[in-house]
Amino acid sequence: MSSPQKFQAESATDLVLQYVTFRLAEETYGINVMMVQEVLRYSEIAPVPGAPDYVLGIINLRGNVVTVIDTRQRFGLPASEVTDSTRIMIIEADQQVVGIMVDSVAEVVYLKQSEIETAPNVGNDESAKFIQGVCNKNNELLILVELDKLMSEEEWSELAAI
Amino acid sequence: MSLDADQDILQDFLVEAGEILELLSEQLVDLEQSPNDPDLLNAIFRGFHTVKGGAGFLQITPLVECCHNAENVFDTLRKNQRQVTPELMDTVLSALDAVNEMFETVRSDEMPGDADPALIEALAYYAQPEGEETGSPPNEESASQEVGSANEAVEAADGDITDAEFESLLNALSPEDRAAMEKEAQAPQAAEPATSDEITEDEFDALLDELHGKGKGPGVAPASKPETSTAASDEITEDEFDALLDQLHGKGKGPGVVKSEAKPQAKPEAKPEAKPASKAVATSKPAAAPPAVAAKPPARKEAVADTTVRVDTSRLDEIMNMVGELVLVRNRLVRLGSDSADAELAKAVGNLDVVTADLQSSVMKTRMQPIKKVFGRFPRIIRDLSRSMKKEMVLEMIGEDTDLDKNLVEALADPLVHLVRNSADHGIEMPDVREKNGKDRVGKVILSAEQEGDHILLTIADDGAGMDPEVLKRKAVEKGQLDQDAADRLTDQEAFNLIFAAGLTTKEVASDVSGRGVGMDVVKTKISQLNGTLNVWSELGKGSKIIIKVPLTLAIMPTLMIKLQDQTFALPLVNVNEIFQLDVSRANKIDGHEVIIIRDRTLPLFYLRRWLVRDPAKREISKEEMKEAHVVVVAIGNQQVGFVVDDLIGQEEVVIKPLGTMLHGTPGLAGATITGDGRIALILDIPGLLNHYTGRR
Repeated sequence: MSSPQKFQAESATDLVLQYVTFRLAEETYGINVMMVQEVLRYSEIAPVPGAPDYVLGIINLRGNVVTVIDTRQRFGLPASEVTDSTRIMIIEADQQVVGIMVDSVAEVVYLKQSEIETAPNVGNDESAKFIQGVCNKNNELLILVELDKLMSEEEWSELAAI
Repeated sequence: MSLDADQDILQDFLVEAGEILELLSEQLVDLEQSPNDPDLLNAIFRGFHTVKGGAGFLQITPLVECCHNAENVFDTLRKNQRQVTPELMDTVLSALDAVNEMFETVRSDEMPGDADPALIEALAYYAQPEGEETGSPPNEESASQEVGSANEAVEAADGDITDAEFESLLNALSPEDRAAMEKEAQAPQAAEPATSDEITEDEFDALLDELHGKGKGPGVAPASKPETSTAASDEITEDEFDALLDQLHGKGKGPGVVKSEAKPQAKPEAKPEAKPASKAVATSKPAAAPPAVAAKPPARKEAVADTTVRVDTSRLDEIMNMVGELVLVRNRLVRLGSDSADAELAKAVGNLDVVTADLQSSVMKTRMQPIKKVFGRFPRIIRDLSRSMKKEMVLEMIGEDTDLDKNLVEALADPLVHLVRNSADHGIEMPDVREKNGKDRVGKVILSAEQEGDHILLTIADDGAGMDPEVLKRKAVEKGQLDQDAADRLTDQEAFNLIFAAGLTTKEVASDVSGRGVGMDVVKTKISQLNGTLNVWSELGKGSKIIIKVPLTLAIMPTLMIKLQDQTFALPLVNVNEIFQLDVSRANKIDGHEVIIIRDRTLPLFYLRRWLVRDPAKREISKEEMKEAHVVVVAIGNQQVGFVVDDLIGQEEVVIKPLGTMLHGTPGLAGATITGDGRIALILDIPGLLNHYTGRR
């Protein structure tokens, strides 16, 4: 652990955050663990006619209806087949519960606040706006996702207008 | 400025005073019908007094002032020192409006502004005995000023009224009143120690002596009864004390009344007083049994504390949700149980079935409220309208005790207000016109509610002018909503339904009451949101009748489950008229739309699969399927359309689950539900569906 020494002066106030990592296409992403309620195996999703196209449909979560978002579509990635490792992560953001479908869920990692860097301004706009920051850990790039944005800002303002 | 009152106390006050204010508006209108009813006067007096007390405790001075003045008016009235006149009623009603307005401000946690000084002055004027006024309301200086100063003193003392302040207040009023008012003065004074602590026996005795000295003979003997009970318990609560005071105030009614009241008081802690309570609630109409009235309010007060619990509606919703869950699990178990040969299992499942059904209906009952909650505001509306439009009319209400779901009660309020206003404005004619047509001068609006199976029927009828179908057709053609040919073909019944179209009005000039032609459209939308239906009946010269049919509850809905490809959808059963199999390959085409002819009626035909299946490849319907298509005929208002579906599953009662915020408002969908096998079915909103996918209604 060499990098933390660089920030020794700040380490007293350096928060340790936990992130759940998941994979989409070839990348690894992270979501703050406090926002994740549970991870489900893929179950049948009932499509909703007339819904926005990034909404895959709804599932029955022990009697509650939960909307599932197509994360690939949202990130501008090509659609892929459902496999054995496909998971639905149930997350709670801004008082609404939604499911996001991901290729697989890996682990929970501990990150120090100081290890998180702001995202380099590359890539297409569609996916860039959901990125909170990046973190280089064990020579692997971890992309931290801003969940609130995933559910689309326009959507929020639309909702607020109702 | 926000209130810094204790939130719990504030909430209690809001709930309690809210109920009293609702009751007051009813009682005030009743009072106009029977102006000399002493019990009614007392009840109103007490109503204002209680609100004042609560407001005083929370130091909401403007509210206290307004209530106090209104209370004074009724004090004068109940002593027969003044008669009820329409002008007085106007003032008092506007005082109630002012109080309601302040109350709303308090509800939003802010300190209300001072009441209109002119209103307070007018109230103060009417509070003086007739013939002894010190002037007319506008230029009446001295009295109102003195009342004002007394009120200031009240403010200074944080709402507690001391003797001295009351003296000055009394001086401000007429001296003749004094003897009587002194009793009043004693009330707050003595109640004050009661709130902080208990009142001692000695104090109480002294007070009784004082009151007896002024009161007449009959009051003494029965009054000693409560005294002994007090001695036994050694302390007196505020409620009991209030009750006692009420008793003494009501002494004019003779010992019978007092006795009936002394009974519940004799053992205040021993019994929860279930009996007087139920009686009091059952006969809540003040005019019903005059001698019993004096006894009611105190008994009711105790009963509320003893036998009922206030529950947050969100908690009730939660319970309702969980029961809904249970129903679903039961459905699933019943399905599994029917497949199994195990007799024990079948027994257990059968038991569960019964218990769940009972639980479901009792939870449902907790959410039920009498429709009186909505009806209660109509006497006032009719009164105000008849005064402002110079019409004469009475309102008759039937079936006020009909219970329905709380959410429905709230949701029905606006549409009903609108319909009643319409009846009063458009329906009832001017008195002269009515006389000329050989009718009673006084028009009648009848509002009734009754339960019919799992539905509630609400009827708004009037004996007014009725509607002319020809005029309606002409208007619709003028407005370009119909062409002449279509208008000519309409039956009278269909023509009446034109009133629900947006923008149509029969009034030449819109008034502030109605006539802009938007209301009925809103009413219809609202009712169909509640899964209800509307029917109009009218006869020219005889009157009109509008019948609303809504389900008893919104939480559980009977549906027809259908299949499109392999996805399940639920159609609300209220809309479904009939189902049949038909060879639709030979459907006729009119104007590019497919139609079928059933029993000489032409129905537009729609393929739900084309709308609701996401994968375009699966949307098309093969010729073979068309040969034996299932057609569900649904009705929206008076219109019928046919839906072609892939498969019919059957009828099922479902619990509506809202779609998440993200999908909220998706066109054509009312929500989702979970079927017996744990899968999801989308519940269709048929009007929304047609609107969205065909671009018309």
